[in-house]
Parts: sequence; structure tokens; C-alpha cells
Amino acid sequence: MRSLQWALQGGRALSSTEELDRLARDVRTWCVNHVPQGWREAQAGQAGDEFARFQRAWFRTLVDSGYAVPHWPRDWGGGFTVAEQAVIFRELALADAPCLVLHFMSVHHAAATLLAVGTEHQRRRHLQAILDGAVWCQGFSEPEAGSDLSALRTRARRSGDVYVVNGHKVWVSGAMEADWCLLLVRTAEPDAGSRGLSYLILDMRLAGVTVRPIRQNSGESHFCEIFLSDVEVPVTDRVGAEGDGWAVAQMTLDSERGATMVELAERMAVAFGWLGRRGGEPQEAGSSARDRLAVLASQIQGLRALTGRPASHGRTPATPAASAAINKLYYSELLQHVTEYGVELTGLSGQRSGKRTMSAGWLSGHWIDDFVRSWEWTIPGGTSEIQRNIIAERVLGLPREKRGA
Amino acid sequence: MHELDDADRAEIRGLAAKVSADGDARLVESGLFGLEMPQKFGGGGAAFGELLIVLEALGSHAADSRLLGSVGLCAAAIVGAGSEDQQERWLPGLVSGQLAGTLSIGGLVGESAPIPTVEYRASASEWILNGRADLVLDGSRSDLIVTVASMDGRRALVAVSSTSAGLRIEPAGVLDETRCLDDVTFDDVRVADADVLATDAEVVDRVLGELADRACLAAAADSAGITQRVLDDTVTYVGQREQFGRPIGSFQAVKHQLADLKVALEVSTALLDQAADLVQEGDALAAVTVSMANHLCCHTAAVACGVAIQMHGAIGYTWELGLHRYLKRAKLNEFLFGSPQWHRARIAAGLAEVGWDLAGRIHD
Repeated sequence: MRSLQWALQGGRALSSTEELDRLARDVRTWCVNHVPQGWREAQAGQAGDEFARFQRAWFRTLVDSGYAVPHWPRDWGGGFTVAEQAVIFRELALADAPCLVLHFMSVHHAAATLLAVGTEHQRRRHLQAILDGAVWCQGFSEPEAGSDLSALRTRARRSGDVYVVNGHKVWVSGAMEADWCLLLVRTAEPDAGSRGLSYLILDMRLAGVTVRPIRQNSGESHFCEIFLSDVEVPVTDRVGAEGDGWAVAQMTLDSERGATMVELAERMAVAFGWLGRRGGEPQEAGSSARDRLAVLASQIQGLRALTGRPASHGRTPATPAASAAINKLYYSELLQHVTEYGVELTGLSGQRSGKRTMSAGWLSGHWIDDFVRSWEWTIPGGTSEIQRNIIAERVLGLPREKRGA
Repeated sequence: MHELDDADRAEIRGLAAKVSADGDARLVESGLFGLEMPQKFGGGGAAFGELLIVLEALGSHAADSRLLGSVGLCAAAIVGAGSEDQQERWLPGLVSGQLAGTLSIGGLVGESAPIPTVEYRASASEWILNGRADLVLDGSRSDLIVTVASMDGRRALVAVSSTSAGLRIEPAGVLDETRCLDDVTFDDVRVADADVLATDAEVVDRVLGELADRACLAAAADSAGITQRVLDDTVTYVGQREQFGRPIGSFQAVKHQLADLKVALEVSTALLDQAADLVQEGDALAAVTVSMANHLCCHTAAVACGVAIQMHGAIGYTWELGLHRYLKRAKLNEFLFGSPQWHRARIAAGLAEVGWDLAGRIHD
């Protein structure tokens, strides 16, 4: 299996400071001309069709510029180094460009998985479709299989050229708008555990697929349940070999915990500026507000240094899976601290519920809302507790905990 | 200075790991004392970032070394502020270990340690130092003390021989036994013109700024080494120690704390490396990032030592096991070159100056 890191990097040499500065100026100029004016106000409180329409339009604009998928290989429309990606994401964040919410999973999870282990046919078919706007979601969790993903029960029985799939997926973000789903299913008996899993691409329009939204703690209904009843998925839509689903799913999760972080770290750096200008300005040096801001700033710079550092940093290199777990754990818990401090700074008046701007992403600047939503990072994609297990067992090599009978 | 590549750095890392527990004679012999010094004085011409690799290795052994005082600070001050003659006079000795030096940097980094005042007596063409510098690294073990002295509201850099009349050096007796800190009193200490490194405000300010960055990053690197070491040792221990019929490292209550340390180590060392790069590039946010790296690395090490002791159980707080050496050194590092509070204030002030723009936007 090819490593994710290899698949995602175009093998380009590191860029010079001058090149990075030139890129920053290019992106900044582009933003001045293309970031929709007043989009925050116009999108406030929008959900459903209008949110999706706006997201699709913005995605199209980004694709046309070449800035939608800087982390993809050059042949597929990307080819930017990690340092260049950071510059692009930083300038987009500084220009207060909308976040890619609807297509987040398409350009990260789906693309990373297909690039790493998809067939040539699957890549040709889906990567271009993603750039054309196809929306993807990820169907891993089930009611009885959360942190213990290997216990999942959704069953796919081979019947000629198709798998007949029956089961129930839950906590699927964006399933209402999705065209495709990354689906983890069981193709062998339950006692095979993680070895009996396979990875399918599910066309959400197929007969037998039913989606039902779940209301989240923020009041939105971004994530959903999917019910699968005798859904016939072509065998050619399997990713990786039959029984390799677990390994393929780890790659998808690594992309969530890894490559997305460059963008999210830059967004956080910009959001810190809002906090600093609000909380730090009237304060005396040494005040508790400035003290707290200094600590958060250090942590955010640490996150950026971590996510933005080149692979050849001279220290013992962590595997992609290891650094992915470390990045995700640190980002998600820092997101909680940052948004919590935003709540503290804005005080009682910050408790007014505003109209949420979904396209603003996880750091919208409406701090109480962002704080309530922050568990969307510490739980999905492997909870913080699971990340700590991964780091302890796979990175530090500590013994596994005994499993129940 | 010539550019070293990743392979050179890996070699330095390997060499430092091999010899850093063997004492300074071995470090000198391996060329690590001279790593950063100009090649014409027998040095390797590397950048400070490379010296940090060695300092990190020394931290991982809680090694009692003169590397930081003698070359990391004293020689660097002479390189930065000294004349060609002064460099020729002192650098070869500092690089070969025949001469031991240090830098009295109190009052520059950290809160308000008093510094000596210096006045110039034109009649005798000599400089007279009076005052006191507390908690000077390696004060009593140095032949040469470069000190920052205040002069009519300005500052000067002066090299003082430890045998000078009127110089009194007393051990400060800090709890950390792996480090030597001394109180230095200047009582009408006479310094010849030839021993004054710099009085020009521009030069002094620039060099002191560089020395402050160095000192802060040196403490950070030492602490990063401590964290790595106590984490490694603790991972080994909890993998072997059994209770309730299984290794205690299999319990989540134990492994999650070590996972958190690993994360903190990765984040703080990434920041340390970046700070060293920004200093090298003269970036506008270099000083702020240096303080951030110092704050995160030193804090992480102190926490790591606490966790390590706790995870070892009662054996962890025995004298014999020696984790106390790391804890004491890590706690000292937090204050050696600027306290956590001082660094936080410096970070906030630096960020306020750039409008809290952490993203570091380049300007047209």
C-alpha cells in the first residue's frame, strides 16, 4: 500500500522565501478580486439549499483559480509544497474567504483515499468529478461501533458483480447533500474483526439508501443517519482488496487528522488576531488577559510549526499515521481552549445567539457558538481518547490494553 | 558561516548523542565546542541552530558542561562585539577548552537582576566596575566573565578576568546540582581599554539582543532534551513494571499521560526549530517566537519530569533513581533566562506591536 505522504506530495523541491512571498502576493490579489463582498452577512442564518448553493459557487471559483486543492498532486491540479499550502491557506484566511465546508470531505478524505489506494479508473472518474463539485461524506460509525470501529455490522454480501449492502450508519456529516459516501462494510463473518472489512464507494442515489438528519448540540442538522436496505454496489466500486477495508479506512482518517491541519492551523492563527485585538489591547502588560493570550499564541504557533514543517526536519520522523494523530489531538483540544477563551472575553453579551454563518467554518468569531461546536473535532474522526491510545501504542510502543471477552 | 544540510545535522545529532555524556574533554575533542566558531579560530563555522542540537543532547543527560557558558554565550559575545584582536586573543582558548568563559546576562533576560555599573576614568585610561551580578552561570568556574554593564544610562560589554582585584565570586548554592550558578560582586574592578568589547549603543544593543535569543533558546533546547529523556525512560519503565498482572503501561490512565507528553514534546520542539530558523533569517517575529519556544519547551520539561516521577511510583522520588536531577534542572531552566511570566509579557507586548497578527503576513 502506498503511503499517504508519498501520494500527496508532488516531490517538489522546497520553495524559497522569495517564491513564497510571490505566491502570497498572488493569492492576496486574487482574494481582493474574488472573495464575495459581504458574504458573512448575506450567509448569516442560511442553511440547506442556499448554504449549498453558496458553497458550490465558492468552490467553483476556487477550482478555477487552482487554489481549491493545493495539497493534491500536480497532475490532478495541485502540487504545492506544504509551505506553499500554508501560504495559500493563510492568505485565504487573512482575506476572510469562506471556508470549504460542503466539499471539505471531498477534497481531503475522498481524494486522499483514492490517490493512495484507488484504481486508475476510480481516480479518473472521481477526482475530476470532485473538482466539478461532487460532494462526499464518510460512513464509518454505527450505533454499536463508535470508537471500536472494527465491531461494525453493516453487511455486504457478494452477488455476482455487485455487493448487496444492508445496515445502518450514523454520525455521517453532510450526508444530506452528499453524492457519494466512503463506506466501510463487513464482507466476512463478525469473528474476523477488522480483517473482515472492505471499503466501498457508495452512490447516494442508489435504491435502498435513506438519509435522516440528526440535530446537533449547535442546533444544526449537519450530520445524519444512513439506512441501507439491499443496496447494490458494483464490485468495481470497492477501494483496495476485499478484506483490506480497515487499512484503507485508516488512510482516510489519517488524511483528516493530517493534511487538513495546515489549513485549520492558519485559520486559527487569523482567529487569534480577533481575540488579541479584543482582549489584549486595553490591557496593561502582565495582565491576566495578556498572559492568557500569550499562552494561546504560543500554542497556536506551535501547532503551525508542527503542521507546516517539512518532512526533512532532522528529528526522528514520525510516520504519517503518528503525526496525524498528534496533529488532530493537539488541534482539536486547542480549538476548544481558544473558543472557550473567546467566550470568556465576550462576556454575557457574547451569550446572545446570533445567526450562524455556516460557511465561516469552525472559527466563525461567534465564540459561544464555536465553543459549543468544538466537540465536532474532539469526537469525530477518532475521539481524543482514541488518539491518545494511538500515540501511546503506535508511537511510543506501549502495550495494548486487554480486550474484553 | 556555511550552510549545513540535513545530513550534516543528522551527523551532529548522532555525534552529540554519542559523546554528550562523556564530559567536556570529549566534546572538545569531537569538535563540538568549536562547532559554531569561525573556521579561522579552529571552529566548524556552523549556525547556532546546530549548537542547539548539542545543547539538547546535553540536556538529555542533565550533563554538567561548560559548552553553553564558554562558547554558546561568552565566545558568541566576543564574536559579536569584539575586535579582531580580541577574538584572536580569546576564541582559540575557548574553543580548545583551555580557557573557560561565561556571560553575565542578568538584567537583560529576566526580571531585574542588578548589573554592575561601569565608569570610565580618562586620566588612567581605565574602566572601573562596581556592583553585583547575581546567579551568573558558571561564574566561579570561568577565567573570563563577559558582563553587561551600565554606563550613564547606556550599556557596555566588558570582558573581566576572574583574577581581577576586587572581583568576588560566591556560590549561589542552587538546588540543581547539575548546574553551577554564582553571585559575582564587582568592587572597584579595573578593566583595561583592551578588555572592553563594545560601548557603541548600536553594537551593544544588537549583540545583547542576539545573546538574549541565544540564551532563551539554549534553555529551551536543554529542556527539550530533558523531556525526550524522561519520556523515553518512563515509556521503558511502564512497559516493564507489572501490577494487577499486566504492564502498567497498558492502562489508559498511564498511557494517556505519556501520549500527552509526546504531543507536547513534538509541538514544543517544532516551535524550537522554527524559532532558531526565524532568528537566523532575522524575521520580525523572531524574538516573540524565541520566547514562545522557551515558554513551551521549559514548561513541557517541568511537567514531563513531574509525570515521569509519578509514573515511576515510589522509586521515582528516590535519590538513587536520579529523576530529581532532571526535575530540578527543568525547574531551573524555566527561570534561567527569563521567567515564564517575563516571557509571556514579552510575547504579548511583541504581538500587540504587530496588531496581534500571528499569521505573519508579509508586507508589500
